Amino acid sequence: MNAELRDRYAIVGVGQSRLGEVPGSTALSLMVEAAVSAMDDAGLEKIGIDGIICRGPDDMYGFHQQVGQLLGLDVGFSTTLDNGGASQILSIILAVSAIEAGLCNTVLCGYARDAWSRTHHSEEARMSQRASGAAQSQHARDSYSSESFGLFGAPAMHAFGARRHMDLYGTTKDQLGAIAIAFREHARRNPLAQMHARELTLDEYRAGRPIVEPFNLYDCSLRTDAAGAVIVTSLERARDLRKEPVRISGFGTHNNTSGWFHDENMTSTAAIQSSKKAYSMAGLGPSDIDVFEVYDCFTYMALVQLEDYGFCQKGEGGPFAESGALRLGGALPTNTAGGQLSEGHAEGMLQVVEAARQIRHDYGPDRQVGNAEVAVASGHGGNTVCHSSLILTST
Amino acid sequence: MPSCGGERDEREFERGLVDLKIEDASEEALLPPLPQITEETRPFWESCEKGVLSLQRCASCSQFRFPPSVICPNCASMDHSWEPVSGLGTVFSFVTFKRLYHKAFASLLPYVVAVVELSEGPRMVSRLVALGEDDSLKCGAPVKVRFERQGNELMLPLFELVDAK
Ligand SMILES: [Zn+2]
Repeated sequence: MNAELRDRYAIVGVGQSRLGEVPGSTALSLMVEAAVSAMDDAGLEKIGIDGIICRGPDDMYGFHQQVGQLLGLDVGFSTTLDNGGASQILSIILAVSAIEAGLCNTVLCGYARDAWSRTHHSEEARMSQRASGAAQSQHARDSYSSESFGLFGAPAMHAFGARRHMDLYGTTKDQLGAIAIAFREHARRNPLAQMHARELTLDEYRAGRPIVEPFNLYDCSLRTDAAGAVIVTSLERARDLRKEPVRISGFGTHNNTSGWFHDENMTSTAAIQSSKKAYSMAGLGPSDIDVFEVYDCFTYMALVQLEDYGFCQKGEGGPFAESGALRLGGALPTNTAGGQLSEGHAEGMLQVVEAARQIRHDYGPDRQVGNAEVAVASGHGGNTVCHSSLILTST
Repeated sequence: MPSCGGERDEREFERGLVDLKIEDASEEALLPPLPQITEETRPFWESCEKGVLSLQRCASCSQFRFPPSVICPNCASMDHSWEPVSGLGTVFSFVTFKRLYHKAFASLLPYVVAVVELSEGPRMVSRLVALGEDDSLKCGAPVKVRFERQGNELMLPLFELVDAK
């Protein structure tokens, strides 16, 4: 299939903004912060960028145009993506495709949100955000009319999957907890992580405030001000730049657009087909993977992807997580910067940034996966049916 | 501004949550969000009004479908009829709400929302009622429809357990 693109493109720079609670920030200001940090990392003047693929908050029209304007750039290719948490890896796939099509040469891929600041710049803003959430709910918005029945919010949608997985395979709450705790342990080593200062024990996890069962507070990702950015160009051009390029060896996408409630999509996700395409393009398989940076909007979504990426059998995600495999030093170090559950929620872009950093061996021994040569990052979203996969390798 | 230090007792999803104060709620606010009835969904709600669950059935391949749509997702035929169905099904999956997202549900907390797989095939979201104190609910539990009027507004198809005994 797309194996002829294997290793022909590279990530040459990665960057991120300040994370967590950044009072007064906006998605745009954070995006620029991350973009400048990625260009700096690459040793690239902004003049070298001729493509922008960015995503911001859903209510911002033409986010990529606003980013280009602030950076003072005219570019050959530019767009905003609408695939939820699958968008960020999709932006890299699209960057490769656009360069391959001759539309541009070097693309800034980015994602930003001001999820904390927009609800916290004043107490009034906080209350009006809540009120507008309630006002929007005066009419059930989807064709299912699910809000009429009391179904609200992303946690419940994902919790349906967790519940069914528990009933089909015997997955336990403590196994979901093992995921939250492993990622928290990684965040404790990451001074920039939103939850860097907070330990999480199994007892604390078990006592977490119930939200929508089977999820409690610690099963849910964070509200974060954050941006991440990566710069993609051809491997040829990459060789002239500052950092050792990280090769893009494989990618894939799949979308269960028939819906989360259709077939067994809740417990066998679009990650199955997406990862298969990525493995096939890279000529690699699950046993070749040294680091996994998984899209963890909720603990369960990390668990089911362990299965869907082939790291364990279907139904075995719980015992696999509980074995300690996901911890640094374990069989499959996963979300080594803390993930969206503990580092901060940047809709999957920080997963790509961390995968590249692990491949470049940017860290000291406390955070570096010793022999990291192959990393996988995943993205999932868009009403929990869209998936994208990325395999990065060292040169 | 909230004080610094310590783990915030909130997460990304909480933007839509409402506060638990309900004393200031108007009568209107105590109704759940009601569906915006469209050309395609009108026959569904009109049937509910009569206490009958009806689904679209493809005139070409006979498959039932939900949610209502102009096209059959199985064979792409645009021809269909509306037919009453048994109102029987099983719980495909379910969640238990412990936090309030809308004032209308304050008196119901904790409440259970399920994806119900109807005997005729389609799956639909609904709320399970009359569960009592029994917390042994599992995926696969048999359920049947039970209509409840929302204030003076429309009838909602809710589900209750079919007593196996
Ligand atoms: Zn048909």
